[in-house]
Amino acid sequence: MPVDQPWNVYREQLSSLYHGYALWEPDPVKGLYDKVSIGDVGYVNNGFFYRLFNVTLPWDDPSNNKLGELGYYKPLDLGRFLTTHEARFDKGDYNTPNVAGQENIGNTLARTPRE
Amino acid sequence: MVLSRTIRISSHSHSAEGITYECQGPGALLSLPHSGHREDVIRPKVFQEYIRDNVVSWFDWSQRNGLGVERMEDLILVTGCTLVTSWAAVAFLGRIGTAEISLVQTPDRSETSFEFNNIRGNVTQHCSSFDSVCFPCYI
Repeated sequence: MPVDQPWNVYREQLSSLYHGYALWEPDPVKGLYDKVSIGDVGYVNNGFFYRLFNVTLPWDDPSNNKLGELGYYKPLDLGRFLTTHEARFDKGDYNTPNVAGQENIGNTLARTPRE
Repeated sequence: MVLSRTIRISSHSHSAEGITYECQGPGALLSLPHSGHREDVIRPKVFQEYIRDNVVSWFDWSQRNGLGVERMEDLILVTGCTLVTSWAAVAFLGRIGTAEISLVQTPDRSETSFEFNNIRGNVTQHCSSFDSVCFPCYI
């Protein structure tokens, strides 16, 4: 896969901020899942996350069998292991160090693009 | 309710507000007009062990069902995620030279519409649509 596809550039560049795997297409796949959750197993293709199933749920949970019938597996024990740390993720810009922003007020460059 | 995406890419922005971003070489920007929610497991090592015990069967299952997993190492077990309601993402693709883009945000209650203006260089961008769901910007 060419490295300079936008989803690859985006992921690779933002990985330097250590916030995780940056998804170029973060919208959930409609009809497949509502939002990404801890315990999801999936893969990323072209910037989309494709959820296959969730290992905190039983193997025969309906949401785990939308893409094919899973065999039995032992779910992760939520009581012992799924202690989570929750925090606010601040609004603002998350960018690589070589990206610089400037307010457009009085900035004629921003309003008169070069052709 | 899902409304249409409100991205507009124009050759001229009529607003004096917003921010112009400049980038030398490849780079990326995620702009969040509202705070999001981050959740991570405290003991990821348990998940690592769980992956080791199960990844072969997961991969075999994905192959049997014709899913798009090409390599075993492509499988991801989510141990944390960041959910936000509005976002704008920009990828500066040029390996050399300078690229510029202008981004104007228009807040509307809990969500925001975005207007991009590519000024110069090889830049790709897109943004959230008005939707009621939360998006993971990171997993």
